[in-house]
Amino acid sequence: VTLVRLVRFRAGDLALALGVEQVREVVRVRDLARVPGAPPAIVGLMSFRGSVLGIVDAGLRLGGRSCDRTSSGARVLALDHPAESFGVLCEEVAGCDWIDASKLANPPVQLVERHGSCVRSVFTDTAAQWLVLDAARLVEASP
Amino acid sequence: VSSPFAHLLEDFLADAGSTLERILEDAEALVSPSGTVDGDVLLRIRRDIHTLKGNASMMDLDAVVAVAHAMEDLCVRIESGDTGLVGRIVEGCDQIVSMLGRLRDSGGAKPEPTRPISNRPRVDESVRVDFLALERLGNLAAEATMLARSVAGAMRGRDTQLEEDLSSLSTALRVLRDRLAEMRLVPIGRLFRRFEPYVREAARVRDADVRLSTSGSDTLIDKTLIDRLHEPLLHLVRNAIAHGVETPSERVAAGKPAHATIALGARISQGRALVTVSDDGRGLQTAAIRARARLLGVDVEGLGGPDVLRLVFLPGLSTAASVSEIAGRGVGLDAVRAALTSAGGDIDVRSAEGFGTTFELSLPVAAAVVRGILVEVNGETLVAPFDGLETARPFEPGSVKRIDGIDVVPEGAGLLPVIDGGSLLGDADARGTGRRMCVVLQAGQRRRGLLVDRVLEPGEFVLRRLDLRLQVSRSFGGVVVLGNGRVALVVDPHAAMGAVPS
Repeated sequence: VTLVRLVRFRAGDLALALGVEQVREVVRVRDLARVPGAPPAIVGLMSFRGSVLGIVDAGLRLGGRSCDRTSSGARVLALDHPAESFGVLCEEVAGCDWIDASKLANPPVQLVERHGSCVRSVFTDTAAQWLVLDAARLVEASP
Repeated sequence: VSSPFAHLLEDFLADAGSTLERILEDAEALVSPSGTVDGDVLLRIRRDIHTLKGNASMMDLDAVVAVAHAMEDLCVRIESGDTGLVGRIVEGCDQIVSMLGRLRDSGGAKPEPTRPISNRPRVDESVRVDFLALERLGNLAAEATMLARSVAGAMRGRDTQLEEDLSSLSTALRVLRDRLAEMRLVPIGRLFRRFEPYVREAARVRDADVRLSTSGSDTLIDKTLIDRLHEPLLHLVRNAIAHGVETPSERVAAGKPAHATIALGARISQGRALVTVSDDGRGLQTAAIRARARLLGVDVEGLGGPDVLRLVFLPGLSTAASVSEIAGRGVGLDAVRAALTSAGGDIDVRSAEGFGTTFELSLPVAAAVVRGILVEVNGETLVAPFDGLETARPFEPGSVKRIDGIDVVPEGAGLLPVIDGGSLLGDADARGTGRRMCVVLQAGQRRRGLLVDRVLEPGEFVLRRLDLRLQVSRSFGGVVVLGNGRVALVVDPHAAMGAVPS
């Protein structure tokens, strides 16, 4: 059995996940500076370990509602290479678990149409259908 | 030179100049950041050194032959992995350049041998470090400095001993941060030096008498800037020789010295590297520029002198076809500007007909320390760079007037054009009617007031570059992390002024 480890999180009514290798660290949301000229999904700039992260609102990015960054569970997932200049804003981190890779399915066409090419695969458990994201695409194709 | 080929001295000097330039360029690319030697590049260097040695021998220049021979030995050792010796190749080129310079100046008298170049690394030989790794270390040191300061602040008044220790820790970390930043800096003279053989050769080909002078060669700038500046500078120097300077007879007739001078200069101002390329040639002809711009459909009515000169950066204006019309200020200045703006820089021009032209290139210095003043606009903290000459002043909110589409405030007996801070942030209704403070921004010769809500405090900040994927407005040249961990955007005066009508 091949296992993959995923960080699961919720953002703007969506259940999302990223491969743990794509996430450097999960940190609390600090004050965000505005980013004039940036796409709407980039909601601010935040300092993190000596560098500055562009913060992508995962809800807005996937065409949903924006995240409530004041909620107590709100966190930033600082991404790893090649998206290390970015962090993903979410409203709650649901967990970090090993998943049987065979349970990952290709995203249905309608999901790709709705959320774009940054959804890499999906898996379903009793709680929700989780959209597994591609971090590089999430930041590169940011509309 | 006593050789039977003495009459070929000029040809030899020109050839040697371009060969040395090629070797210097190749030497830069010879060893990859991971320490691997590029075999093709090394082969090219060896061939060039061999040719140089052969020609120098033909000219009976034993001193040059000796240095070239030592350089060949160095190549053999580099090939076997002794990459620390690349610097000695550059040193050898420098020695030959100065020998040939003396040879030219003395009209052919043989140069004395100089001290032999060593084939052993100096004791303080540098170590190659991956530039990105250095950048990351610098950022981490900056973050650690900030955290230590913050902890020291929280402990103030609680425990004297701990407070003192934390203060020492903060100081040590700040020094570490500054030392790391310094390691990225190299003297711009390295770049200037590469133009010496080029200028000699290009002037020879065009039968011109052109001398290159440099100033500010010891100005330390970030290594990445060297790469970004080379192409634009080469373009400007080439244009100056090809079209900017007159022939010796024209110059004498105009009461100028027969030899023309191209001057390269550098300095740091407001956290930006300012590099100038000047010539004392015929200057730009504003009437011809106006005429050419009209043909391209540009509305030139009402444009003042400096703005007319800046038209040369419009695409299609300074093309080869227009060379004679605009005093030949060359091909594709729009391309030069595009190269600079893509690197967060800008270019400006000053010229006086008959007296010459100066191009001023400016680039934000990556990870440089920027001096500025913290200001607040619509609740957002920004850094407005300043060079210490002018800072902030209050103004009457009702005194902003719009004249010909440009907002201005009274300044002494005149008017100061202003930019509203809100418009830089992309906020609607940005007329600045409620603002109370004005900070003067300066970009080259241009000045604009930046209207803000509050002026907080001046300081020195470590400038960070932003990921291009963020698509941040060009009005901002980077960001800084403040002592409280907040990020503040740094206004780029050049780009900010470009964002509003001039």
